[in-house]
Amino acid sequence: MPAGGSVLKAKTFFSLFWAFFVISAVTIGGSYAIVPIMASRLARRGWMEEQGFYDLFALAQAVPGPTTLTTAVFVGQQLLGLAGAAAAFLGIMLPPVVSIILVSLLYGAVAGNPLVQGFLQGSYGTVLGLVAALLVRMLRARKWRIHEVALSLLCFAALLLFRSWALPIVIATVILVRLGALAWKS
Amino acid sequence: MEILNLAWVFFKIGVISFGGGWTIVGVIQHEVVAAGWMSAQTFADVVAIAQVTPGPVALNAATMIGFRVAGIPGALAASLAVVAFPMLAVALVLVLLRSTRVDQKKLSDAFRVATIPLIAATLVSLSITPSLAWHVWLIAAGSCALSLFTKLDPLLLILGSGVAGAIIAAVRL
Repeated sequence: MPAGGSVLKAKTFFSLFWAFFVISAVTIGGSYAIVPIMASRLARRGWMEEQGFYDLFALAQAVPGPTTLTTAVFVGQQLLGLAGAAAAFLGIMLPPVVSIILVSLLYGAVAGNPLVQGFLQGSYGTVLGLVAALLVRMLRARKWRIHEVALSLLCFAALLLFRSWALPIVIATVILVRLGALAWKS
Repeated sequence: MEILNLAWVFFKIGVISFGGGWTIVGVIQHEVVAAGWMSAQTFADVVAIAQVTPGPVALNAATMIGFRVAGIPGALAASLAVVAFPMLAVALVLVLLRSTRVDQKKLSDAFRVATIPLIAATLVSLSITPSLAWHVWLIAAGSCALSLFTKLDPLLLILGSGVAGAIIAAVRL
């Protein structure tokens, strides 16, 4: 990959790893919080223009997995090839995995505490509310075609009835939506 | 082998993790409770903790469940398993982009249609399985409205409702 634009800071395995490690460690609240921070930090280091970054972010959303992780790996690969992808992977993965292991150790000791339970119950309520809000936003953002509405409802019912079959149900839905879109055109 | 089983379950979950973590939390809950690794009540704690610690919610849940089932090896196995398929997909996309221009947009659009029922199913499982106190429902409705109609930082909402929950618990003591 030829170096493009002004390189303010050397792109090495360690500098990439450290950049993603810091972003991952200090950002709480999912990909929609972390992605803008990643964009501005990469631009400030002169590693990547925001436009190029958001192209990769869009690409990452077409791939399964946590968007933060997949975006970072695409960015790392573009900046420094395979070593860059590995640096991004480790940088993004280490903070949550280590902090969750520490929290898990702590959880065993404090899970019985009524105040901790109260805190977790309260937060859980907000989690439900945020998921509901996300659902409303996604429903509104889409221009629905009739076959998509029907397939979504069918998929939802199937997911509730056959909980262990989520993977085949989702794959079948994706195939049917694609076929429906083709039929629509002809 | 519990660790192999753990890795297999989270690998499968990784395959359908389209459109952000919330799509698959309901599936994780089902798999984990069905395997007898954890009660729905404890899973609710895991979800709340996963949301207030850094990192994607699905990855955090995988790490925490793996740890509970098989200690640090379990935590590492579940974390790597849940991102294994996504990393394969990233590699595949990079290879495809190099050779041909693939029209990814249409396929990802079809996935987006399937994402919505997955999120709806997650919402249903998370609401009905653990028994929730009345104030948790109030907090849920309030934060849904605040999230839709204001620009408050979700993290503030989560921490604020946690403090409110702790105060309610203290009053009840």
